[in-house]
Amino acid sequence: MKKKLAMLLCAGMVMGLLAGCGGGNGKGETPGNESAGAETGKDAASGGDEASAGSESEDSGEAVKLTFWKSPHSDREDEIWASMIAEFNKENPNIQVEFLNVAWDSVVEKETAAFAAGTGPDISFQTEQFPLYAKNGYILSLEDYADEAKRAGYPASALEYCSYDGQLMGIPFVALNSVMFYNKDMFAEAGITEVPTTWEEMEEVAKKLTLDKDGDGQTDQWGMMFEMDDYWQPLTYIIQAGADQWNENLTNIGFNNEQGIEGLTFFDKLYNQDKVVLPLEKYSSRDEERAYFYNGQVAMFPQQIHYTNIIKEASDINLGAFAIPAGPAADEAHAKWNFANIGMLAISSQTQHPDAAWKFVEFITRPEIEKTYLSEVGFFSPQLATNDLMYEGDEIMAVAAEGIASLQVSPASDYANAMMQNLKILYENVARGEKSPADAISGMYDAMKAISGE
Amino acid sequence: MDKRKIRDYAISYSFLLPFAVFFIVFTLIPIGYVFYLSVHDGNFLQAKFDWAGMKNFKDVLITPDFQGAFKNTFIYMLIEVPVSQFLGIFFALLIRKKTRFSHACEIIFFLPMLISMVVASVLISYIISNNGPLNLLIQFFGMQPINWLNGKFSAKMAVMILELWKGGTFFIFVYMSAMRSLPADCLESARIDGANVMQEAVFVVLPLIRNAIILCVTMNTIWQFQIFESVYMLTNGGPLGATQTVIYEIYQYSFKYYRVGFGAAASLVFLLVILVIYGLENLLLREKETGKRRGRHE
Repeated sequence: MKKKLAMLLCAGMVMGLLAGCGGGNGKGETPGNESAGAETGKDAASGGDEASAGSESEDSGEAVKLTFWKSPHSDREDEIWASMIAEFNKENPNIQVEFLNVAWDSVVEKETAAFAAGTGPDISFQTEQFPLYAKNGYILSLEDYADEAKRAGYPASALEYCSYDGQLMGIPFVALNSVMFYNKDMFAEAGITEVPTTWEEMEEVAKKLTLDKDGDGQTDQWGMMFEMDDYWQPLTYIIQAGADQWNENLTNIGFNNEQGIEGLTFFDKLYNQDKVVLPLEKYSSRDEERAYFYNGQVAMFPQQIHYTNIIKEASDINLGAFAIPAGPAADEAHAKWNFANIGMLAISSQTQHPDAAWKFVEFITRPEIEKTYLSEVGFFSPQLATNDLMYEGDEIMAVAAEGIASLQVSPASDYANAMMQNLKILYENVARGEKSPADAISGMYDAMKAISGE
Repeated sequence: MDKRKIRDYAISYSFLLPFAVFFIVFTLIPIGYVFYLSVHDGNFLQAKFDWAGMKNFKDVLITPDFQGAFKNTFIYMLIEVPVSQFLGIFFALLIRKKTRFSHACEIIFFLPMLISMVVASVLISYIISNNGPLNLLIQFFGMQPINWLNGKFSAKMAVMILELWKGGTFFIFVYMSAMRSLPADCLESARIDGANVMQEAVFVVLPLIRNAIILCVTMNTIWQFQIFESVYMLTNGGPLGATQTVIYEIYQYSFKYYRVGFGAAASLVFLLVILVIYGLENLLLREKETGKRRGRHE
């Protein structure tokens, strides 16, 4: 009897273990819900007639639960979205939206794992990495959802950026570009009355602002700084010299050429010859580095426009901004390039409730609604009508607004993540004097080739 | 075989079943899957992987990042293992006798094991930051502060400090337990024979806890090969890949660069290296054991 009981217990344990290992079928179907006819997996990538099937529960008045993943652009991200979701619920009481704030450094891994397991978020904020998901059918085409009226609010370039293979994959939500932030008081103290507009002028201004103020033989004020965690700002010089970020196939760098070397040589000169950039050994974290700007020890700081709010919250310096000084490239598009990007709201092809997800995306991207988020964080909208509702009389935002009207966004790529990781190594090699600009670029080309095979 | 015997076997093996299922599902199948991935190209988002043959293995061997990561991993192992074992034995010798002091020390040594690596990393990064307590102490003694995470060697040191503090304290407890279970008569005889504290530790205690030392060295070697969280949290592999380890590179290639096949091939190459080292360790130990037995017979 005891033996039989023991065998039964063992069998029970094994069954329990197997049950624990089981679960969904990896494509978003859950047991007991198969008959709902909901769109699941890659088959639904093209939208289509089944799109409305998932709305049964919404129409029948049952509560629908959606998950929404976004990486933060503000410390108050959760709070802002809670209020926007509350607004949405006034119109759609049956659709619950669960917001998940996913850290930037792990968002790609988490989304990949979730999509591969069939548990991807119903709605997600996507940036330059989205083609990888679109190519593999994890993002729902919005061709059947976004009508002409909805599309009319956006410039064609923004819609094109959010498309893959001719299909609209997301609604543009965030637009940003970069400016040069500066400390007006430090400029005034150094007698600088005009902001620089070219590389040469910027170099001269930076030299004037780099000082040994206490006379101990060591520099204690610097003309500018680059945030080493930021992948994009030093790229400005490479592109402004006439090179491209990507090769034709978007698989490797497009600046393994003379122009690329010229741009990176200018960055090298600022760091190692002119010594006008805050040196790396002065800080060990992003906060320590930013403190130099906040405390008036660094005069200029190129960054994305939404840093306006971050800087204003952290310090009381007399903050100003001007357009990133232009480079020597022959064409204006290259010469005036600065890092700009568009973020979009995309719907997963695995969602059980595409109609409900669309309702949310459509609601959030209405000008009067999206301005709540964008103005809180300090972004612009790709939708020009929204921008008219924000930042009236704001001197800093006016500088960025000029660029937003003619936004140049680098194309999205499967290898965007690899590009970012390797750009950081490229800058560090040059800033530390470990490699010449030519060797650093050549090294990055080889590293990208090892990753993409091209 | 009669029915009764078969039934007895069935009952006996049924007790192994829960573990066997667990082992097959979570160990054997994943290992098999890694072999499959290593000869394919693609990422987890694709429905189908493409056949790549031995290309991934070739890429692993010629990729400079991976060679650098191998070098760093060996540096960590060669420095951290002896230091942590020395400190483990040293502190265990100090607290092996049960006193109020030793109890207080046990609690202090046990604390790092209770906190997660994330918390430990945040604490260490604060302590070694430019304006952190360690640099304040250095400045107090009139020296220049060190930007630990900026230098290639100092960043490696920072990772090793974190590993020593977080993981090294475990060995104190293993050695302490081994020392506390030593037969009292051996130690008493040594004292009667006039051995001082140093002689007692070196000539009596250490040989008697040899098995514990072998266990700790083997475990520590394997752990050092697996360093990941401390690097991920503290330095992200930087500066310029100076702190990257093999596991960190495997993670980068598999999950950041979407070369899952490359990551799988790298894992297998690394597994082979670990097995060779483990085999060498075993071979050396077995020779010693054999020698000892032979000595006894002579």
